[in-house]
Amino acid sequence: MGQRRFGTAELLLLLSILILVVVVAIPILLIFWNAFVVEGKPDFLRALALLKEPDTFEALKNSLVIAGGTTVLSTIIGVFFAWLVSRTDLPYKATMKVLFLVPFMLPSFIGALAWKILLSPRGGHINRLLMDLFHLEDPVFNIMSLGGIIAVETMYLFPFVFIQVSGALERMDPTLEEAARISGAGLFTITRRITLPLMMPSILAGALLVALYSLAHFGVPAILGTERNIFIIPTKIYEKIYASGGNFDAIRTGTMLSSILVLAAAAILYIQSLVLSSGRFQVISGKSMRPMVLKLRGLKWPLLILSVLYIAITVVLPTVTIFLVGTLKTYGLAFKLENMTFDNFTYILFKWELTRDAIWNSFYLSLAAAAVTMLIGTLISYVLVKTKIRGKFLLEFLGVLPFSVPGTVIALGVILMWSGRFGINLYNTAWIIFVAYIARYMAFALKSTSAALEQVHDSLEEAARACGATKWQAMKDVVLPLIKPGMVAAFFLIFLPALRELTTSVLLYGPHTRTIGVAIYTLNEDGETVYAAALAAIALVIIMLGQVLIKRVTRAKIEST
Amino acid sequence: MATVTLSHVTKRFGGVTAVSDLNLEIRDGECFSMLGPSGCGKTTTLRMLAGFEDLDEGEIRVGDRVFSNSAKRYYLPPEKRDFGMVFQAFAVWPHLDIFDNVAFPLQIKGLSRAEIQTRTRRALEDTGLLKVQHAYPGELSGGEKQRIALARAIAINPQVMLLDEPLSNLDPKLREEMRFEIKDLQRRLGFTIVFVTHDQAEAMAISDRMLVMRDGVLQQVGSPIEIYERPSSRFVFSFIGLSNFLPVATREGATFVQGVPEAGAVAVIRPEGLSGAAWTLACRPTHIDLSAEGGLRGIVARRVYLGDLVEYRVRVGPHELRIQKGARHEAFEEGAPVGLTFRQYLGYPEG
Amino acid sequence: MGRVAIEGVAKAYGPKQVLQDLSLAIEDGECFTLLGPSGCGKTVLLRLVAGFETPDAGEIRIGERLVSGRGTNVPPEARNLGVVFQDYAVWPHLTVRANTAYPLKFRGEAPAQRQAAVQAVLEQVGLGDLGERLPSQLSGGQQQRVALARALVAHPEVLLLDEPLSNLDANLREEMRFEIKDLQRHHGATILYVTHDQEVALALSDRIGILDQGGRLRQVGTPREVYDQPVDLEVFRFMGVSSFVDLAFDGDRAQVAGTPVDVRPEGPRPAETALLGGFRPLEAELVSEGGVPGIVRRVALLGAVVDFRVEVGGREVRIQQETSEVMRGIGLPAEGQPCGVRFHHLRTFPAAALDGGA
Repeated sequence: MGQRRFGTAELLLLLSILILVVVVAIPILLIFWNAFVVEGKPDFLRALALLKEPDTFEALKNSLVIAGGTTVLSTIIGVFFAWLVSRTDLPYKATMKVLFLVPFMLPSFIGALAWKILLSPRGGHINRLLMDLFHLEDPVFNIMSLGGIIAVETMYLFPFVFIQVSGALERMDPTLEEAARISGAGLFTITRRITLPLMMPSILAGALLVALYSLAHFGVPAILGTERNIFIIPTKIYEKIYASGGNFDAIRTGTMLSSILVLAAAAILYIQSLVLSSGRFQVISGKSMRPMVLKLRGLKWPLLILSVLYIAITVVLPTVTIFLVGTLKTYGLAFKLENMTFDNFTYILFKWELTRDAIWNSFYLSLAAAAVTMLIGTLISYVLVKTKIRGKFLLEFLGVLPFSVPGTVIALGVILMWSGRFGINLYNTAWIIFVAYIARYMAFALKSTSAALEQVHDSLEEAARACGATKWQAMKDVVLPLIKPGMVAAFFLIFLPALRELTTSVLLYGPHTRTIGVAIYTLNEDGETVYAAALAAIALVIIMLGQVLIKRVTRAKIEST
Repeated sequence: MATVTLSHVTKRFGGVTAVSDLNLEIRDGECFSMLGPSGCGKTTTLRMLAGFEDLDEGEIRVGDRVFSNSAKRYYLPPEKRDFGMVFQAFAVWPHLDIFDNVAFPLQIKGLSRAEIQTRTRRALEDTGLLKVQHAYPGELSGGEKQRIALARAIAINPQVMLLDEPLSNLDPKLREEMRFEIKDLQRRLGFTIVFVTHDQAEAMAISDRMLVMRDGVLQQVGSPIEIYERPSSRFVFSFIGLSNFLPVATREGATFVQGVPEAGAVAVIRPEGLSGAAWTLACRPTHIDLSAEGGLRGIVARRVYLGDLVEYRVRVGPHELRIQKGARHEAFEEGAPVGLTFRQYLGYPEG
Repeated sequence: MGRVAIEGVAKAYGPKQVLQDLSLAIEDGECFTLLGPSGCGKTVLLRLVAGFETPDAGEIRIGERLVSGRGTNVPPEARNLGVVFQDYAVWPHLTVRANTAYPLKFRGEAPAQRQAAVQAVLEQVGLGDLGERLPSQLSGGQQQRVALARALVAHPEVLLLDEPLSNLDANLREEMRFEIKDLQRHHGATILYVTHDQEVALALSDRIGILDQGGRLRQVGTPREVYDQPVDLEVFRFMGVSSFVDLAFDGDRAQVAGTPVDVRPEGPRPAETALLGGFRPLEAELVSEGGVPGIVRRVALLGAVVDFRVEVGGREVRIQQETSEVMRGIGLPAEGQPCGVRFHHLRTFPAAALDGGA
């Protein structure tokens, strides 16, 4: 005799579904609708014909090549360094581990900017240096190429593989390898027959993430490829929307390409979930025992130097370049003290309206989006984790959806939805970026707040009720204080990435609604390299400060609980 | 001959001495247990035997061959020692099926396919796994996984088997069954077993001889019944079973509990070899009799019915003694005065 | 006052009927244990009494008040109970004192009174000095004590405990058993204790109720009754290690493998049914002369006792004897050696119950 009342739980469920539908589902649906429905009738052939056009086909091909190349390269580098840091007696391992994660924190398009300055075929500083030194006619490196894009993306994406594999290596039950040793196997055999196969799921998980990000990425291919007519899907979509002035066919090409992106992303995530859930590879041990460590002997210091060099070249060099170029009075001058000034920075921060607005916009948009997304995320997570009503599966599905939707696609979907179609026109306002951010980052908020809520076992709430508290009092006194750290984590998980992002806002900005990322990009496009670099330098400083702040806050929370 | 000899073996980790000057001879074909609380050094000793740890001092020999010698910096690596080893968490490889798990050491040796087939099948037969040889470990229970580990260890026909707490991850019933299976395997195949455990019942049930270790130092070596009936120290006494200790003093032929003269005299004889008036009386809960009159006087603090027996806690001054009687015993209520007589006891130096 | 009456309660989860027509009366001030294997529904019943779930049928009364049934459902916060959960459920963000004081928030007492009550109960559980600590700074046993203190501070009539000791090590478990018993005596509360551990149930309870896998109450009685006079073979097996031998009857005299034995007067009589004699390991011994003939299959020295597996009349039975007795008596037998077995008391059960049932 179950009671079926229309209670608060049902109300919350409906509200949550409504929010997700409006924010996430409809924009995506509109993409598919626009791509495949012509004058009220589904028309797949027309859409596919668009794909056969040489430039769109070329973009598809390039996307695959770049994603494939980046994935393979990142996997090799990621596994190598993970193994080095987790399974050898490399000196200063702990420091190196932290250093290898730094590329994660740097926006890759700023890196692309730096590499363009250093290695562009005509004006790149390193190229010029080498040509002078060795009296060469042609430049040695050309970063404005498919290979260049792959190289730069790898620099910033390999930590995905690194984190997964080093974590798995460290947590792996060491007796699995010891059993192989006592069975007579030497290190090489053990690695080949035991360690690597057991690591496969982690390697694949990391590699798939790299593929996903590479496919969806705008900044690096835009800066290094567009000038040379190398297009990938997101940059092609951008070109179609802007260069064509919004004609129907162009938009349809855009949505068609977006659909492909979504399907590819969904496929990747599906494969990843299969890989991770294959229970065969439950090798994590509870006890913390020392894993088998390889003694590097003679290779110890050379490998350390190699690792440090790698960091120096991929992290330090671009960063230093950005800062130095940002101080130049005019681009092209030599790096001498008389040619450098701090005026660029003050100009950008305080005097130039364009950059001032961009910084301001990024801040308040990110703060607002982070706050709102965190709150909505908490509400939805509560329904998902703590209630037992039917129909939750719909909410779960909608919640997972944004994960597989790249920023470009969300931007496009948001344009289709909020440009007057349903009576509301947010185009060219800050609101459209705001809505896009919420859609983009909802998945992160859900993941973080769900995890926090799952930690609060039901028995904690029930204990409160047994003590005399009503359901609401129990929530206020017990649940809320305990999920606060998770909510704060969700906030920062959204605030920092939103602050530095480019992919989504580049499709949505208007004359007064540039973000930091957009400003850097457009300054570069307009040839204002020095100002682009200076703004990029400022962005790097802000991001670094933000990371430090987060570490402080989260550590303080951990110590106080 | 597979006699395992440890001479003056010492191992330090940082500032802590995990194993201190251990001298031991494990006889060919015997089932030898190393027993002690966690952190006592028993696992470290086993790992040194296996070759996973080097020695700070001392030497390990098997038969006439030197396996580890710290002075000469000589260590035969684990992969060359030809031991069989079973780990606590089974260490069965999830990505290989059962047949491949068991065949692995044979494949490493480079035996012919036919030979590998035969010997793997035999090992699987011996452990009752022939039917599931094509299944994967993930599909099997804890007990079956432990059999896989055993089969893999015996596949190469080792002379010595090392077992590191192999049964602690199994539920109690299974633990008992597996003990017997291991013993049976040993009887049939004739290898020497070195078995590490923290469970004294397990050590006693399975061993021909055993040692008790504490803080890296060997406390006692002997057969299980020797160690149970004649524990050499208070620590071994308390570790090997439930115990009662009373600080007593014997003067002019009469023994009293120290500080509790009102309890009366204790009808015991001070064991030989103890000097000084003060000593510690050690007694098992099942070796104390209760009476209404006479004996050492105490008060019944608790009486607990445990199904098969009744357990009394009797207070004598500040000390509480644990006494176990048959289930039908109901003579004394909580709060009642009672007299204690010690049927069997041992004595240890004070402190 | 603290009487709990459960009448005809039923509860289903989806297709599984966990409890059906369950009736039970727990007397005021008694310590009652619900004992059963995992999945038998004992925790479900506890949650029904607590008010976290509602029964599909039946009534539950606490004291004279109807709390569940007949359209009523009093929410947990209004039932004036103390609950201790298996995972302690101590709030990590509040101090020991704040945790313990929480129930008093809803009683409208003056802060000064509250402080005194909290300190008093903390002293009782031995945490008087640790009031300002956070749960993360306490051991498992100490956290369990906080949970107990919190459950008792508002002087509830009924205390519900859901396997509170299973996460503690053996030594601590013994200690905490005594503490719970003492606390109960001190507060005079009725306790409903839920567990799968027979040892705890026997040591702690005034009465035990045994639930089987299907949620049915098999026997309710004192620990001695349930252990020594089980109502059927299943209860007998559940309560501890048990062995069985086939009984034959020569007129009124019982026999095992041709040798006369004593059986308890209670229990079913020969006539049509084949009977088994059931006994506990300590209720039999190996003798040097006479006794029922058997063969020793295994000998295991377990410290204070020696454990024998003996084959008697075609069945393998388990016998334990005190070590010194064995050493001074027959000595340790060898495996395969013939021996004599003397049974102290055999309880009779229908043979079908063993071979027919699982």
